Amino acid sequence: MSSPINHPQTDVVVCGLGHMGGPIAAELTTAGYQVVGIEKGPFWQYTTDWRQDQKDDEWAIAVERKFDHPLYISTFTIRNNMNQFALPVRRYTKNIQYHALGHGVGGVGVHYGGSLGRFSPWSYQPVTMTKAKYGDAGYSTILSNVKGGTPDIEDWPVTYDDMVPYYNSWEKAIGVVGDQQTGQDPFIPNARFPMPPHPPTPYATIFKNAVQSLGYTPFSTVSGLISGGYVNQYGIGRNGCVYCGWCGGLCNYPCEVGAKTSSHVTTIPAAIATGKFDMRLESYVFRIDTDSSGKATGVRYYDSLGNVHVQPAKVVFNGLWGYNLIRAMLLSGIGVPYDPVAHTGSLGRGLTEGYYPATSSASVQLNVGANAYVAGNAAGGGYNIMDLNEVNPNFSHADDLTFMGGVNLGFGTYIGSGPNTFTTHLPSRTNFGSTWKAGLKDEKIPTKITATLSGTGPNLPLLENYADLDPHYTDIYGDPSTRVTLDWDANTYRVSNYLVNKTTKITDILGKMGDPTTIKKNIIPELAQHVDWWGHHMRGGARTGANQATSVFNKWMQCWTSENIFAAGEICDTFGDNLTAGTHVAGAMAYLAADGIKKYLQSPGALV
Amino acid sequence: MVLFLPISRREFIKIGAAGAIGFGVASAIEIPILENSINNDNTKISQLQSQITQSQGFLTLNPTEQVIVEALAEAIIPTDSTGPGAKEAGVVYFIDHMLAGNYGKGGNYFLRGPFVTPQSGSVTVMGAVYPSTTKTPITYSAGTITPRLQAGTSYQYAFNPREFWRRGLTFLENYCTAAKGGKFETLSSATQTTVLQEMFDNSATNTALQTAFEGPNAAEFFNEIHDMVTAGFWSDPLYGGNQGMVGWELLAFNANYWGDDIGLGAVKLMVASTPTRLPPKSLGQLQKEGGGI
Repeated sequence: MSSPINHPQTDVVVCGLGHMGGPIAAELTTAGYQVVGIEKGPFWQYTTDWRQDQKDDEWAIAVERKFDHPLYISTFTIRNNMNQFALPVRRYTKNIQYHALGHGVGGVGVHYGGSLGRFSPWSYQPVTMTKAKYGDAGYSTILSNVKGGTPDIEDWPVTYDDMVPYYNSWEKAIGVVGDQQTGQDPFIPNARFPMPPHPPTPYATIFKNAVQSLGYTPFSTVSGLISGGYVNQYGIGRNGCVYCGWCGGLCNYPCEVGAKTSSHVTTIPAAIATGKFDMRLESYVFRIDTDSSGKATGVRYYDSLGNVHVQPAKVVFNGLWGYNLIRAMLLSGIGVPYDPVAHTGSLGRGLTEGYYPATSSASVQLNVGANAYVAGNAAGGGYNIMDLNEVNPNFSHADDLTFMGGVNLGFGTYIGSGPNTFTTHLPSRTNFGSTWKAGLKDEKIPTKITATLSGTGPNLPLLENYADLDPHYTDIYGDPSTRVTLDWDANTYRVSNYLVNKTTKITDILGKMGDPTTIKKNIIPELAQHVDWWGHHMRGGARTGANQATSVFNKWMQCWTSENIFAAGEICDTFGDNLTAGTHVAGAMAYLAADGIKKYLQSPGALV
Repeated sequence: MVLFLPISRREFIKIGAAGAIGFGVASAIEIPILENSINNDNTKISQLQSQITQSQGFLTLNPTEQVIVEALAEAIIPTDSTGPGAKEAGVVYFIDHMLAGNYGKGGNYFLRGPFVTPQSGSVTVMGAVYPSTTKTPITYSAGTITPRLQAGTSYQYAFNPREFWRRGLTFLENYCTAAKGGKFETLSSATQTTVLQEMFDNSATNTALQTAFEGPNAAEFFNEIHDMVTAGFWSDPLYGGNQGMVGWELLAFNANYWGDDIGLGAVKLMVASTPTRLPPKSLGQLQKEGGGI
């Protein structure tokens, strides 16, 4: 191999130009700093690469995943406990309804579903606020009831109030859609969104009216698919959603009009416009280099021809995707790796999975029809309630302290997306032949639709769940893959069972929505299956925290052991709420990290 | 155990190979083939042959495979009183074309070793023993949930999807011949349904099935068949299936048409409480119109 190509030092090197890297690049360049951005994929342009007449192609997008990360470059392995052999994720499949990894500027943001929402004050201080409500004894009871492992729960090092200005910056940058008068919900103060809600579907309105009549407080689903033309604080303008329906439930589709909020249309163009942003595409970061004091000196990366480049920098921002963020630090010997036996160390610790496949649900038939093929996951004016959640100070489940958190109950679009991935079309013992086929006729334009409500709760950080380096599998360059050791706790089952089985609340809501004689409940037993594949929203593993022994980053997202390494992402969450998406939370975290980097560049040292 | 290509129960044809390179002695090279009758059903092949045109034909499926895939596709999406099925949609061409290209090659797959079979018992990999960790099935009001063996079990094979299909089709024919008295395409519709359900069930006590399917197992192959047949029925016609958009017509899937020219449009469809059935529009149509956004 030829000798490395050395670049001159820059102020900040940003690894990964997705949801996290974009805000850092925009904030630091507009503040006058020189920034180098390194991205393993290309820079696709929606005007040419994602034209509607080529992109709305379910085979290419949802099965072949042609705009997603190719697994032959790198993958990760997963097992359910530390005694097992971890198997690698070898392919994306049509009937595995999970996110693929991003590839290219925008990262996963290119094809996410656009579901957003702030975390609540409780989400940032779950220990303190749960104890305040149920007492130390009540909190101990909750912890003693956790099934599947030993809880390892901590408060964030920041409060919700600390995060409000950063939420505001992120929301302006991407044009968050939600209620402009009442904000997210009454339990999340000071949230006012820059873009108005999408036009509500009739069935969403039915949900809204039903819960309102019961005294709950519905709020417009917070969305990252903008509802009209919008110009952000950097002067970058975009078009509104056209409700094509292709970016439905499975979150695979890039947007042909740029309405989906991703860094490639929001923050990266702002960085480029400053003339201070040097973008290295199709370049793969493999090490963060440090000196003898532990400070980073810069990063090393491969270009697409395999040449090694050395990019020195005053600050390294690690904005890589979830597991890769952890892996880059493990490979570079930065931080203290978690020891799952002694329960010491912090890097890899506290890993959780934000998405849960099986929750109890209840359904009712409505007296309206719908066209399931229009509107997307987060477009179409849905409504949520958080009344039945710890987020609501008046909510209490003191009668049942077997779980933590509560329900985020939402009702929005019917489904959206193309026919290949509808659940009724997936392989099963009965999903073939003439009877099945007859049932498919016009099935997605029904004159009456069935509304299903289900609740998910937070997965809790457990001492048994963590990430480390795999001893067998490597990426295409020969470096070890991330190994994920993870299994479900019972919390989400219990939250949804509490809602569906133990209270009458769900029946009350459904009874107001449709024909009460058609209400059906489906109770799923807890811990019925292992974590199967890998999911939407891996959280923790590189936590921010107040305690250096159990966290990797301090409250400014500054690495405890390397003062000039900063990071952001859901993987840095101290605790995860039960919103299905944590993108919004991570976006605010990126703006906080940008603030931290500015402070550090002005006055290097440990930030407090 | 570490799974490399299984070599059990293969038949070997010995052929003389006088030119065997590097050895002074002419020896026989053993060429393994999967056990399979190579007697083709000439009538069915002729029927398929009659549909071949200058722009519609087969790129990778051999004549034996063409007939089985066609029969599988028709069993999953039959032509019946509901409307056209897999046959009219040209699903067999879709599967052929996809297996001939990136999909068949596993272009985006991670296909490096070691290859370990997911299993509930203990495994030993490179000298390290990983003990058995199983969960018991849970029965509840709506049925029984069989726990997965472990995470990440999808596709732990050393071969690509084209090979997966070649093997799976051979196993299927062997199973049908052994257990049902004839190859899949010759069986009655009712028996074909039974076979597909048996594949889905993949029962450990179905000895003939377990013997026939060495990997992919029967359930994995059923899922793959189902995925690809439905994809051939519902993907854009540019890929060779869904011809005449018959798959979309069945579902009333509008694809890339929202009725803008007749005073509708996506927003109106979205907020309507009475749905409108719209004809679909394909990518090819959109491109020809120079349309789209």
